[in-house]
Amino acid sequence: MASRRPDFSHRGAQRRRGAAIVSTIVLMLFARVADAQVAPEWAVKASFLYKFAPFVTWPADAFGGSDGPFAICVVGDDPFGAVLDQAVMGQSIGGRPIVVRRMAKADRTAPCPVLYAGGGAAQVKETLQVVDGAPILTVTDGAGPTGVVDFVVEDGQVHFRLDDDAAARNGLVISSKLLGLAVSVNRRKAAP
Amino acid sequence: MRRLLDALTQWRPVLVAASVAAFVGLSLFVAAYGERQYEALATASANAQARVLAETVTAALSFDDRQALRELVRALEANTEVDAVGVYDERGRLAASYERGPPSSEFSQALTRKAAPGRIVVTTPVAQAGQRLGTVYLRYRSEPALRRASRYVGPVLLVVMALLMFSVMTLDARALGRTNRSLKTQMAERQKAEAALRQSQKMEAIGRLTGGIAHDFNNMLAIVLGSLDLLNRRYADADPKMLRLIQQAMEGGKRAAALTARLLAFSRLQPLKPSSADIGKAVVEMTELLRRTLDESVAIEAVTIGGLWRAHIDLPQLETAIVNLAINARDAMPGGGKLTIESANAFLDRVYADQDGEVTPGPYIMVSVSDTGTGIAPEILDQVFEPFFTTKPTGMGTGLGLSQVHGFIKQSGGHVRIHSAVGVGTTVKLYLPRSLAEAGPTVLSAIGPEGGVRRGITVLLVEDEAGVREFAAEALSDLGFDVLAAEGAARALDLLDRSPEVGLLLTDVVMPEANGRDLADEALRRRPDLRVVFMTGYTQDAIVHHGVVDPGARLVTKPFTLATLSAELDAALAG
Repeated sequence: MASRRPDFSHRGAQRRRGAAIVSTIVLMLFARVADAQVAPEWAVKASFLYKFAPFVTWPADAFGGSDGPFAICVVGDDPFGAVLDQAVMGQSIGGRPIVVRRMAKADRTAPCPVLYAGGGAAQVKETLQVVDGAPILTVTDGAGPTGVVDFVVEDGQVHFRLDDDAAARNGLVISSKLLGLAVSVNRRKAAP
Repeated sequence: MRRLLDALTQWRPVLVAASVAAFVGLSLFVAAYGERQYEALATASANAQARVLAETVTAALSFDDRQALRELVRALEANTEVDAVGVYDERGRLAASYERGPPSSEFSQALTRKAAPGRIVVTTPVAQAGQRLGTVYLRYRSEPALRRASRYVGPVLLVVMALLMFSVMTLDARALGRTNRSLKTQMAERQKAEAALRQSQKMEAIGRLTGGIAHDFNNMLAIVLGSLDLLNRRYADADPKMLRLIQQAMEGGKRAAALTARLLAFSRLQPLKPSSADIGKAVVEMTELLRRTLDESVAIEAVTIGGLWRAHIDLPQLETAIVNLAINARDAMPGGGKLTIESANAFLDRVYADQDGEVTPGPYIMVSVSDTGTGIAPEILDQVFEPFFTTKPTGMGTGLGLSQVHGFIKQSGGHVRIHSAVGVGTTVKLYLPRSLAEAGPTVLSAIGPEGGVRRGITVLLVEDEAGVREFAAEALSDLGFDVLAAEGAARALDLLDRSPEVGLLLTDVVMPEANGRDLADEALRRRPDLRVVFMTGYTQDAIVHHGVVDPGARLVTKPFTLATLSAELDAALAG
């Protein structure tokens, strides 16, 4: 994994700058086309939301056991729209169907194993504060404070950073395989 | 144990074939087992490898991190046994692959297509927390031919060794069997040869014995007969009664002489004078003689072929032999029958000769004498040639007839064969040696005695035995010779030196000091014009080799009559 980083910092940055110029021009000319360009990135992020689940272990007693559908909650502004619904369609986690719940405000007690904190930095911060310590895999998108998972887009590809320390606070265990794939990891502090 | 061995011998080919089949089968089984074992091992190894890969690629596959996938997949390059690896996502699309060697299109259908035979291919699901994420496909390198072959070297060597061993064993057993058979044949042949040798040794021993007796008898008979002869001549005007007694005594003596002659014949010690003889003619003449001699009830038939070879044989002895056989035939046919004398050319080949150790292969003149009589029992057939063996009542036969035949024919270099079937008849076949000399004119010089006339020739008589010497001296004197007598060679040479009038040397052959032959040689050295006549009753001596007289030697056979002595001396003086 580490070997990929230098590659990105040199040529990747240049290419991104070029891509930005081109996309600005294209944006101005064909707004709809620009829309379509953004969409794949969000589709990937949407699929990631449920793909994290197999690599994360929730406490056994979280949300009163594992009955019922597996909920992916989107708090605040929803950047996914229908893309997320399409992504989870037909998917299941451990035999539990996946449902998407959208809510304006975070609810600590709501059964949300995976929670996407949307909106601006202030809103994200508030959401994270509400659910802090709850067995919830919080996902942020690089705006201000970061959750357990934080999406980053590098070289046109969706990657993520992991905050294992935050996960530990939430009582979650993240598989080392997932940790290995992250762009960066905030290691959990050793137990006092 | 023996039965087991026999069974083994009988079933050997089957046993060998079964053993070879078993070995081949076992080897194939071992090879197949090894192959399966290897495949199972390789499959287990491939499965383990695939599972390890499936575990490691979960996250990268799930989050579609192509670069991480490629690195993880390429990590398998270190395992030289891995030939190709493919990682597919949950929808079956190829996410990453690695292939040793030239790239192929196999990954597109790898998951659905069955693996080619001999290749080890495994697929393992990629899952995380029970969530199916994709599939790992892994192909093991097909084993190099050399390595594969090396696993078969053991069984193949085993089979080859076993086959070699079995073939060697089989060949060995075959050779052993052959050797055994040939050994058995040799043993049988040897037994036969030994029996023949024993028989011939027995005959020889008996012959030696009878020969020795006959020799001594001959000397005595010579004295008796000679003396009677002289008595008869000197007192021709004596009382006729006395003369008749002398005549009777001489008859008895002659019969005794005939008997000893036959004994000598059997002993093969009788001096033979073989010459080229026309057997066909002789047989015809014999037939006439036999017709007169034998009973009317016996029909005689002589059968001969044209172009019959001449035989090298002593004809008078052959005639005696045929008469002997004819007499036996007559005695075997008391109620009458048919006597057939057949003569033909015969060639005894090596096969025939090998059956009888005493026969030399070559051309022979065969004379067979067959009767339609009672025949001879097989158990005594071997004994009939032995002297004094007779089936006739005591006093009826001497048991010397067939002995004479046997001894004479053998001595002549011929061969006798007897075939007989009880109730059918007997055939005796004589094989006489062929003469290669052309028929010559027979010179017969019959010289009668010239009693009472002095010849003016001095004979030096040498004889170690006094009786014979005295009789011979008297006889010579009666024949008109002047006689000087010596008992040995030294005395004889002394007399010869002192008596230039000696014109003829009459010497015995077998004497204690120098033998007659050496004496004659020495005498001839001193007096080259000297005439020499030998006297002998015995053939195994210096003059007669193997019963055949040296060419040119004059010989008087003891016992002799005045007539024969006179004839030989006259012949010597004339030659």
